[in-house]
Amino acid sequence: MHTPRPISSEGLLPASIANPEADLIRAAQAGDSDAFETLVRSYDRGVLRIAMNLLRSQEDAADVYQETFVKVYKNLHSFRFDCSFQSWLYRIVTNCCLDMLRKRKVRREEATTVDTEDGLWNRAELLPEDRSHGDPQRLLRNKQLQAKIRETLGLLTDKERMVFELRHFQGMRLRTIGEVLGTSEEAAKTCLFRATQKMRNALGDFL
Amino acid sequence: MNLEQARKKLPFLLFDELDFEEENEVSRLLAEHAELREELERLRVMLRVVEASAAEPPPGLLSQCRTRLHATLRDDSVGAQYSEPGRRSWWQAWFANGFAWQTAGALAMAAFSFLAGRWTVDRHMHSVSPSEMLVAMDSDSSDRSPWTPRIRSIRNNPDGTVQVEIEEVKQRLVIGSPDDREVRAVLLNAAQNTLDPGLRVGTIDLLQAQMDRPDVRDVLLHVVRKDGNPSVRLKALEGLVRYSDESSVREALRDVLLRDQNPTVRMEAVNLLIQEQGRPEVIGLLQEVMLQEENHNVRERCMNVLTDLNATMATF
Repeated sequence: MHTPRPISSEGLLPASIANPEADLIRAAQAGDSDAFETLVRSYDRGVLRIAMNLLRSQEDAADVYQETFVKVYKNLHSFRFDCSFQSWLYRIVTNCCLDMLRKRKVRREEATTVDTEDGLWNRAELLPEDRSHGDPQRLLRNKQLQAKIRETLGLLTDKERMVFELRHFQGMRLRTIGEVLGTSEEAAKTCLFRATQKMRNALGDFL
Repeated sequence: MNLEQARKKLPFLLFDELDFEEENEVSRLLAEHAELREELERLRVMLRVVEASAAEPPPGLLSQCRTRLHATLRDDSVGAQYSEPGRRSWWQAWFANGFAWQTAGALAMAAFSFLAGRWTVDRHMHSVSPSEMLVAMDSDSSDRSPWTPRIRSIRNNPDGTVQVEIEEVKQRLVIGSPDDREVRAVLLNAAQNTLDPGLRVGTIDLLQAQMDRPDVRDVLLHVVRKDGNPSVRLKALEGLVRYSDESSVREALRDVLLRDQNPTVRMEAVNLLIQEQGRPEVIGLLQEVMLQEENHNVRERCMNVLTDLNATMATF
C-alpha cells in the first residue's frame, strides 16, 4: 500500500494557491485596504517585538511600529517580490530602529524598567522566579545575572544586537538577515559570532 | 578542524547554521572532548537566560499601535497614496482605464465562478479537485471580507491526485450588547484563547460588568490560574475583588499566592485575601506563605498583616 507522503507545494499548484501571501500583497498593492490590514496583522507582533527589544522603550517602539507600516503602505507598490515580504518588511523596521537609535541616542539597556501605560514595569520582576529552594544566595545570583545580561546587551553594537535579535528571537536564517540588513550572510555570521562571544565572555562567571 | 576551530563553531551549531560537513566534524569533536561539550552546554544555558530577559511588548501596546496606524492611514495625507498611479483601488483603476466590455465579461465569468464554487465545492475539502479549489479560492477572493488561506499539508494520493489541506481564516463581525448571549460567548472565549494579551486584558475589562454571572467568574478564575501573562492575571484578579469571600475565589487566590511566578500578582492576591481578615484560614495561609515566599515586598506585606492580626510569623 502506498503511503501518502508530504511534498512541497512548489511547482505543484498554481501560484495563487501555493502562495496566498503573494495574493494578499497584490491585493494590497491594488488598493485593497482589507488585504493591507491582514498583512499588517500577520507581521505586526514581530515588528513590535523587534522594536521593543532593540529600543527598550514602549514609546519608541510604538513610533517605530507606526513609521514602519506607514512606509510599507506608501511603498508597497514598489515591492517586486525580489525577496520575501518578511525580509522587505524587516529591512524597513530595522532601518527605522537604527534611525531611532542614531537620532535619539537611545541607550536604555541598563534600565530595569520599561515605561508602559500602566506605569513602570520591572522586567526582572516579570521573569519567572526559581522558587524551588528559597536559597537567598541563589536569588541574589539570579538578580546579578539579570543585571549582567542587560549590561551585556548594552555592550553589543546596534548591528550585533539586530543580528542577534533576528536570529535568536525571530528565528531568521543568517542569509535572510543579511538580506534584511543589506549585508552579506558572512557579515551577519560575523556579527552573530561577536555578539555571542561578547555575551559568553561577560556572563562567563554565571554559566 | 581542530578544537579551537570547533569551539568557534559552537554558536552556529546551536543556531543550526552549520553546513552538513561542519556539523559532522563538530559533532565528532564533541564526542571526543568533554570540555567542548561543557562549553556547548554553557552556551546553551546562556542563550536560554538571555531569551528569558527579552522585553515583551506590554499588554495593550499592540492594540494601541494598530488603532493609531488605522487612524493614520485613514488620514487624507497618507491615504492619498491610494490615489497615486499604481496604488489605485480597483474601482478607480477600472474607471480610469475606461469601461470595457471585456472587463464586464470577465466580471460576469467571475460571478459565474463564484456561484459555481458555492454550489459545488465541499467546504471540508475532502475530495475537491484542484480546479474546483481554484474556483473556491477565486470565489472567496471576490468576497470583500479578509480571507487568509494557509496550506497545512499537501500529499500525493495513491490514485495520483493531490490532497491539499487548507486552513481558512475568515473575519466576521459580531455586534451586540456585551450581555448578549453570542457576544458573551465570544468574549469568554477571547479572554482565554486570543494570542494578544492586550486583547485578553481588554476583554476581561468588558466582562467585569457581568461579574454576577457564574460563567464569567469561572472564566476569570481560570485566567487567574492559567494565563501566561501577569498583566492579564492581574486584570482578572481585579475583576474578582468583590467576590473575595466566595470559596472558589479564595481557593484560586490561595493557589496564586502559593504558586504564581510573579510577585506583583502574588501581592495582589494577598491584598484580596486580607479583605476578609476575620477568616482564620487567612492567618494560616499567610504563615504558609512566609515559609516559602522569596520576594521581599510580598514577605513584608504578609508580615505586616500577620503583625496587625497579632499572629506569629510561622506555624509551630
